Amino acid sequence: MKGFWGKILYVDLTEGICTVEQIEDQVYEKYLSGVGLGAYILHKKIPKGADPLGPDNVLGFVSGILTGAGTLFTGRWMAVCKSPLTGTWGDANCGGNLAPAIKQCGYDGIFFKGISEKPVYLYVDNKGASLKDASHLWGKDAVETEEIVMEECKTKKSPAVACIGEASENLSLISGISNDKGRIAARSGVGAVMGSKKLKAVALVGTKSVNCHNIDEAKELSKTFGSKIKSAKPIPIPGFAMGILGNLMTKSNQVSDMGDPAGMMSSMFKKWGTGSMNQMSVESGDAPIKNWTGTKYDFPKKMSKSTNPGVVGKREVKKYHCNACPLGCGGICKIDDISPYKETHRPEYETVLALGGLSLNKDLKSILYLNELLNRATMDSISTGGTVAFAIECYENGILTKEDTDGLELTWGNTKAIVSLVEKMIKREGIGDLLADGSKIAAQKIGKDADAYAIHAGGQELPMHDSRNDPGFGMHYSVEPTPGRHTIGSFLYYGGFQLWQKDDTLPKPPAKYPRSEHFVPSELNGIKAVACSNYKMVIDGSGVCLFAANLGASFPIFRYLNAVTGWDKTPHEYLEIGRRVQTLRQMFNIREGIDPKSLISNKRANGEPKLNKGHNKDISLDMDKFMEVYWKSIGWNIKTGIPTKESIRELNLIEFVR
Amino acid sequence: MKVKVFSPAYFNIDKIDDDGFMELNKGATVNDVFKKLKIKWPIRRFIVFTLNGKQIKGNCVLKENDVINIFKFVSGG
Repeated sequence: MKGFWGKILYVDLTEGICTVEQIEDQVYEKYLSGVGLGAYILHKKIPKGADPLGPDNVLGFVSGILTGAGTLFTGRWMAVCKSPLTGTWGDANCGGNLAPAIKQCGYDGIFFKGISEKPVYLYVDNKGASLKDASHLWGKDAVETEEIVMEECKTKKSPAVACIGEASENLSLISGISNDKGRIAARSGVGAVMGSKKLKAVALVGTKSVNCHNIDEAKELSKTFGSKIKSAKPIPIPGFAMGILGNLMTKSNQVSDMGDPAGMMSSMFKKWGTGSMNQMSVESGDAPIKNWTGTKYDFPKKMSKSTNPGVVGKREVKKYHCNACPLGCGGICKIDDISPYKETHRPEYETVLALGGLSLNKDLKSILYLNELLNRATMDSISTGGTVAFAIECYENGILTKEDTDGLELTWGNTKAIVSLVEKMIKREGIGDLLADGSKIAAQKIGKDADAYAIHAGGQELPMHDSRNDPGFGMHYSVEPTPGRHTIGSFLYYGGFQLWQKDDTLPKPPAKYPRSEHFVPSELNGIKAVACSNYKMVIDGSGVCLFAANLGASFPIFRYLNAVTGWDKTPHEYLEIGRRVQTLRQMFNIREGIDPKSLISNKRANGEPKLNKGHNKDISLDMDKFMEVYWKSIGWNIKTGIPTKESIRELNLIEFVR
Repeated sequence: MKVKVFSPAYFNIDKIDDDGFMELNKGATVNDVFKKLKIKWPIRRFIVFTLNGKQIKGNCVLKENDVINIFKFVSGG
């Protein structure tokens, strides 16, 4: 075996027992590691109908098959479980330094079942694993917890720590898991599952090195690709220009080939990270505004300018890289003058827009403070922002009153009220308790047609990419086994992944074509979407960062996989593995009684009613048909979304049919 | 003379053919490409591009089959 250990650590928190389980090589060849190994294990370990917050749910921390094997952009780990937020397959991933640390302990993944009687944390080193009392940590935020655990587990090597904060302890269904002091695997409610198990933290101090089949080739691939990224200089334009360029994007009705984006994408991300797009996306129609009812005219440049990357950049005191990343899109911002905290991670694009334009909040200081607060509490900023915007719309329409909101005037752009509301959500205090499980559940409790304002898919709030601008995002929000996910695919991603250069069965877009083609639920668009999700399953099975995939065809993921494992597979064969994993995730949902049609995103996000101004004016999407073309292309029943018998047989997944 | 041009669609890409090439006179420079794409000031100031993979200045003279890649700013991610 190469690139993987063939072993997982299985922790029974009820019994307090840690055991090692062997995994056959064929499992990796069939599913890779990461999300694929997670899907394989969870299908077998979680009984049908398990309560996501009960002892039968299994929570996995899984590394990628390329992680720690001399490859670049492979420092991401996956949290996997049955989601308490959506009831579907749940996963979330995160960078930093945890992924290689899992491998360095001699395991490909660590899985937890049961519920501990008292708070505990898991300690793993080269000798083995043990559970330690975490009563003294319960109630502490993620940064405090990580600092204490690092001190307690100090060895020659600095421990890698994952942990939860207050929101996850309070079982908020929109909570996640932190590592590297405030970076979060945020989605699917994975933090609530960890909280339900009374598992406060995981501390990893192993020093083992995983084998690589052909280290020379892996190094050579890293050298060639890495030099392209390293030589890219920070982009030589000012932050305010991004808004101007965003506006420019609305002037075209065509789509063009982006060439080789690696060097220049790196230039932009090195300088500003995902925050490059903060103001640009408002102007271009990519960012949903005012709970998906507004446009840039509701959040004009004079309001969005406080979040342009140049302004945010003024607070940056240092940059950082994830493990094995030559790019380094992370940054640390100083906030000691505006909050009780000294610093925070530079807020990601998603966070800035979810806490900004979505509620018409123009105050960057509040966004920076909330970014740190949410990171420490381990609450998902996308779902938090979506739920806040939902509550504001309920208030503006009289569905919630001042009496319901503990006196908060939840009006659009009321920064003070937004900050107070988020603080209450973290603590489950008053109105915050109603909203701490996301907008869908809150709407069910409120009644009075509040559901119209809950912009989610399957219970998970939609991210900050407007389906009416790129229907590819919209399609994935609705067809994903983990609904409401933006990091799977879109028409933009298809252009950036450039998979047709590696797999000639995939369609190569013309040098230029009308943008209107994106709005038709055609067979071609189904093929593109399936290619994206298949690829993303390979990415998430390999521990790869999505941004590496967006650097275009020069990222050598398939060659890396062969070099590290010793397999001799074609890109097409790897993409078929991706299809197998995607289908297995969907089969998990079917087994759990989920109707795939029920995961369709809120109709507002699909242009019903249509916007009457802005770049997405008059756009409406036939999302039912978009879902059908995806299902047809991937081999699921076109009317039900259930994987067909033929596909299950073809993908060799019969063992999972009950 | 033909050069390959990757340009964002929000510029005037009518002069780029279906295979991605632009026809230019011998001795043309990168600035001539920008003119054909109708990129005006102040936008010109914000254009980031490479010629055959390297960042260079706009007055560089082009030759047959050169590749100009103008950074396509995109939203999403």
